[in-house]
Amino acid sequence: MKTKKRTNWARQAPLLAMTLPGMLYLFINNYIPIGGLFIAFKDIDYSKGIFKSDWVGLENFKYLFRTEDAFLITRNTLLYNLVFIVLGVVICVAIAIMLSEVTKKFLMKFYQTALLLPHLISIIIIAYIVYAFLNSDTGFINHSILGALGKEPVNFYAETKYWPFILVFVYIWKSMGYTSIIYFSAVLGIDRSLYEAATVDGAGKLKQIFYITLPLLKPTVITMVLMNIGRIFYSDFGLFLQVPMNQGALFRVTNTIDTYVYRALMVNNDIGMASAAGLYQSLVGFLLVLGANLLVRKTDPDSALF
Amino acid sequence: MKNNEKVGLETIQVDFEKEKTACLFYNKDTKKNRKGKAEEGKVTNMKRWKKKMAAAAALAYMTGCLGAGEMTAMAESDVRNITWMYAQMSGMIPEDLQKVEDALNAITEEKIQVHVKLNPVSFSDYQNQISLIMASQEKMDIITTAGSNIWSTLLNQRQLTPLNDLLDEYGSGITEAVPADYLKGTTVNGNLYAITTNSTKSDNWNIVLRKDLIDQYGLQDEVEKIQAAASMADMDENIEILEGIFQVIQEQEPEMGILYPWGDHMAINYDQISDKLGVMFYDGDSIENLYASEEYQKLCETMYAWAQAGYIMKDAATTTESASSLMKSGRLFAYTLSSGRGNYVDEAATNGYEAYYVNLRQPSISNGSITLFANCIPTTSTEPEAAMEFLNLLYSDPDVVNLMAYGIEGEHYVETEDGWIAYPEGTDASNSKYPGDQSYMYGNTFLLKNHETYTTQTAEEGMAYDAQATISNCMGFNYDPSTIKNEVAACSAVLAEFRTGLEMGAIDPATELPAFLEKLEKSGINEIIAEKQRQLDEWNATLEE
Repeated sequence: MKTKKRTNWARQAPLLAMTLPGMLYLFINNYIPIGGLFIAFKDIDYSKGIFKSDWVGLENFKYLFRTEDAFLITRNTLLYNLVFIVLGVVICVAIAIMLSEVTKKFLMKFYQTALLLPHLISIIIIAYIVYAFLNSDTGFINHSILGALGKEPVNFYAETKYWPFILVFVYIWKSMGYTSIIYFSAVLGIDRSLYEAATVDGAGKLKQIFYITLPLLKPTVITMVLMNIGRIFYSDFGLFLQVPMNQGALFRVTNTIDTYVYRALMVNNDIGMASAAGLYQSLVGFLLVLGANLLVRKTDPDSALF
Repeated sequence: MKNNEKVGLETIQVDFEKEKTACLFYNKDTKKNRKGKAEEGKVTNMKRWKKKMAAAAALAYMTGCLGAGEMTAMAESDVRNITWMYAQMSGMIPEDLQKVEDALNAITEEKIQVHVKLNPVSFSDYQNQISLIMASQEKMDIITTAGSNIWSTLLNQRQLTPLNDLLDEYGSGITEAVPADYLKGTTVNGNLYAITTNSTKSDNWNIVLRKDLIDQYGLQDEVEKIQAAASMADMDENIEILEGIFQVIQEQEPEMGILYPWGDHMAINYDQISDKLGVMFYDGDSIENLYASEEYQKLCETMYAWAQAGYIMKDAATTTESASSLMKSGRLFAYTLSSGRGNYVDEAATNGYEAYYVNLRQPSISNGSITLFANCIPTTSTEPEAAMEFLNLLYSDPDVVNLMAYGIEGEHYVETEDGWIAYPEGTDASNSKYPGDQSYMYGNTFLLKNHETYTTQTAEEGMAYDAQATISNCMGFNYDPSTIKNEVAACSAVLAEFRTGLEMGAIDPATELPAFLEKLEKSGINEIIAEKQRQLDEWNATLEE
């Protein structure tokens, strides 16, 4: 008994050691800052020090609801993220399944790299790529396409109606390579003998996808969706700030909680108010994860996160 | 023995706690603590003590309490270390910074026993870096503001040390050099919180026009006719002349972007009182809403009309390139520029063309002009006395000022026959290892040598120009937004939404200006104005006393 325990421990030690950097990262980056949550309830006065500053209750949260934009930014954040989650799952799962059906190794590597590339590009560069397409003077769409067709140029950076589509497109294009890898590895993990059996029974490719691949992918999809729901009150800051080139005229469709807080606090750098926004976002996100998980547990207990 | 050991441990633990708190909050008393610790060390079990100290030192190091600088300070006890943070406006940290720092320290260590660590930060990142340093309470002895928003943030976050006593004791060179009126501009409730750079202070509004095109189409006479107006309201004639010029250029150079409007609220003569929410016009004496004024409406309408006529560069609102680099690329004919007079030739070095710099508005001096570049000692300074002694040199010692501004003589600049200075042969602004392109930032600029590339006016001319400037009616008034923080945050977000579009003529003021005003009102601009007015009345009352 004793020896068995020791060998187990010895076998696990390298694995545990491998988790160490990740754990440390989580601890330093995600757990230690929790101690600073009280800052959201303080009027920070550097001459008194952080701990001795006055308590101000919920005063720091007020500016989030001070404008009529409160509804707008919450709506934008939620709706964009919902679209991102739904479209993200559908498109990325489809890509993963298609990739798994590619038999030529060279082609598969090529597709994977091509899909992943946008994920590796900095959002600032993406913003300029988009700008190269859309700007009203020399942009590719206005200059080379609409110009050649003899149509009036569109001032993309002043018209709100195009932006929901542009942002969703850019987001999916940028993120699909990375997310589909996760689904792809889940597809590869499915027992091949199931497919062989299905082929013997006369099931075609489509039937195999619908009756074997998709049901077996369900737990992965649910985990991913739950994780995304936890961050539904956070927006992709770079995407919403950089890609629309910080255009005031587009705020009605591009302003989210993060960009609003950024712009509101650029002037006075108040860490109490910034912490208030962060606390508000994570609290709502936390409740949503709990709720969504509860829902999953009711319908499908095996797939629930906890 | 056992008892003794226990006591020692406890005291060290207490002391360690003290150091931790001191580090978090003031970082002032570390020296005292260190001394205290050494005494306690005698009565404790050495082995244990060492262990504890090592741990404390390691933790202190981790939290950034004892930087490398302080370690050396312990070794050479007579020389005090200070760190000086300032903005590198071009974003390019000079290659020979270390050489200049060494040369500077040769002077300061001899004269005042102070070792200065230079810490220039790219301007685009400056505000963030200051916030980070302040939030982490890192040691910083002098911060030179770059932009009045940096000053008001530091002030309102109560991160500045009052300088009155330090100035009395160590700053005789400063009080001699800087006009008392300017020091009032950074005094709040009797406490002096910053010392403005001693330089030309006037703001004005200019248009920069490419000389070659003006000359080619014979428009010199038109340019001559432009007269500096008092404010936007009197700008009609200038607008007409400019429209005439733009029309010619548009016909002759259809591919050329005509105007890139930059900082155009400056066409209006007003004191922004730190955040542009509730301002004072130069001919007024109460706080008003800038955006509801007739002048602002006129500015937006003019810009919109120009945009409709095609006079404003199409991408003006979206481009992130600066006006001068657009001109350099040959795509732009003109841009507007708010600046002090001293900045003229700076522009010539970056926009690549000979140009007419035409003054559209008469000069004025506001609170913002005083706090634009000012030297502060933040609360995180461990050596405020040494910092003040160094600042005193920066305002009184020509060697220090010229070294910081232009680098080392013979290496980064040479003296010419007429007593001016210039780049040595083979170097210029683009390849010099210490280009000296921000000479206006270092202390007393009236002590500067005249540089062929950068000096457009001598110290006397600069002072004479300032003498004609209108001075804000609320010079020296600084407001504290702590009771209306929520409104300021909400209104700032509204400004971000509308201002660029309106001031660059991208959106129609007929519909968007009322929407802008309504949103500002809902976000609480009236509360801000009322609060500013209340504080202004209070301030006026204290002046009368």
